[in-house]
Amino acid sequence: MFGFSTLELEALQISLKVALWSVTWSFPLALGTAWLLARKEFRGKAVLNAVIHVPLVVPPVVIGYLLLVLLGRQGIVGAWLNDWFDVGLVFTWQGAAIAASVVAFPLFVRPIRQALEGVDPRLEEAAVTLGADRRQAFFAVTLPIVMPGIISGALLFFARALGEFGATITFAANIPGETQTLPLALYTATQTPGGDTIAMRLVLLSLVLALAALLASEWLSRRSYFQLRGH
Amino acid sequence: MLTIEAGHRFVDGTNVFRLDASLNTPDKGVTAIFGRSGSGKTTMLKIVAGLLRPDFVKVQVGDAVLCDTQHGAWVPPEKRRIGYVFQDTRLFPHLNVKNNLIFGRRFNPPSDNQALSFDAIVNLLDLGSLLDRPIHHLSGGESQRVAIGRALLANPRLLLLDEPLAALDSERKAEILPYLEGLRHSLDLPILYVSHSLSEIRRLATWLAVLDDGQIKAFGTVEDITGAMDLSPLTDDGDTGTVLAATVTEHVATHGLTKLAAAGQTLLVTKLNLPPGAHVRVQVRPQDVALALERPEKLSVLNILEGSIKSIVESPGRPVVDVQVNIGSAKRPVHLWAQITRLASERLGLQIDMPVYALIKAVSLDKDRVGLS
Repeated sequence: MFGFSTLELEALQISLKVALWSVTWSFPLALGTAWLLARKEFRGKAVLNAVIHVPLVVPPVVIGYLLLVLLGRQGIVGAWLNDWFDVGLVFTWQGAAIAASVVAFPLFVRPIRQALEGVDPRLEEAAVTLGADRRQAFFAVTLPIVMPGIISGALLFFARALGEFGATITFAANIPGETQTLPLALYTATQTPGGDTIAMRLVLLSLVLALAALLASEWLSRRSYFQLRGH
Repeated sequence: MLTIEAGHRFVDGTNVFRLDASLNTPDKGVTAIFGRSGSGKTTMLKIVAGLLRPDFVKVQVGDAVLCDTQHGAWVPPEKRRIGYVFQDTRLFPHLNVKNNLIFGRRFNPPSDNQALSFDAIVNLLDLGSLLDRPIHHLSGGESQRVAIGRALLANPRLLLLDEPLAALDSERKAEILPYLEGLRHSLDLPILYVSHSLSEIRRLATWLAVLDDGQIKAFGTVEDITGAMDLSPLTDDGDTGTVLAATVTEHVATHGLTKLAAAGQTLLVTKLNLPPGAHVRVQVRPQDVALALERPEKLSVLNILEGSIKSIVESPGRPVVDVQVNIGSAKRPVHLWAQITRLASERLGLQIDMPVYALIKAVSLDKDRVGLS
């Protein structure tokens, strides 16, 4: 297809798989975390907030190494997962997805949290007097209002997950056909003599993907903006 | 019968506010809850709606016990079917007018015995031309009408209105009051109307509960309570007075005036477009009433009512005194409040049971003060 090699298409496929899978399972976590931070007062809130934001301020390699310590075969949680469920995450695309998710997570939480803080919680109170229980009130009133924040968080997260390099290569390694995402393939190509053409094609592929994601999110947030305005 | 009993201690820093209120109202018609801000009016509505859970509470609407802490009964707010119209409307910004209106339908499907259909409520509140509008394109008065419609379409058994006009300017108030008057006649459910404006209460409410510092100080018909109690210390904006029941007797077409009979005496007001025999209510503000010991002659004031002093309310440091005058008979007293300076009171040597004449300028009784009961 368009002269792309199997290896390049595989890298594209792995990148998409890793990023989409990360968005999907991170969404409920990000929403829950944003809600806790925006609406609830509890002990350790400042600590939780700091822990979530750590990946923004440390080199991704540090995150990758911490994941290795935590989830590796000999890791604290990893050994247990391995013994009881026969699950290994190191050197798998799921591992790459976990690395990408942890690094990109704060970018998902922040816009949702900010959007939630802009919603008057008394609107939910009004919904309750109209017969909605607390959960229904959140999903029928607050969630649609914060949808632009969710979309912008999802896009930032998706883009960051797509470009994740340091944590991924440290935790999941650079295995063609399994954990080699576009950036890892690009890195390999630049390190290979005569890999310039391949590198350029991977760069174009990355650009097209990023543009497509931007356009899609723009379209989605316009749609939800108009819905929000009641048009 | 609507029964509300609530007791709660609110601690906010060093402030302690005690609410200890008990109220029984008939199951139809409008009951106004009157009191200054901070007297516990909104707190009381929130307790009735179940948005606050106090130490002790009992709320019963007709046969339905909605909560009773003594017997461990608690219906959650979303199951209470109590319509709540907030002062700040709280319309949902992501929905247009129509979808705001039908929001409650998802959770309370319309029942067969529902008095008012969607179309009926849209007509009653004149919302037809607004249905497709986004809510940020509504004026203050329109928003409040939509909020009332939204509450009614959730099929409530009781309607709570929390100062729905307080945030509006006087023009918008005048625009929305007729709709509220219309509701009062069309709805077959009890309405609690929180307000600190006696002119709103005169137009809308049959019953009046006076709330002060977390306690119900008085409850009765608007006429009885305003005659019996001096409301002016209980409000911030001075819109108080006495509400008198009166009947149109004749029009003085040559002078653009209307003659009313009230408490067996005659009252001239600016012309009303109502036929003779119509029952009206007249709000007389205490600052519009002057007192004289003899029937004055050669005076521009048209209304001179005979009466006797029932009580004099003065408080130290206050330059004015409130004088309660019985303008009815000994058997059927009708009370009117007059506010005069302490200086005037001392000069006249006012004392209880002294016969006096209450003077009210006809121009102070315009259409903002007089209306159908």
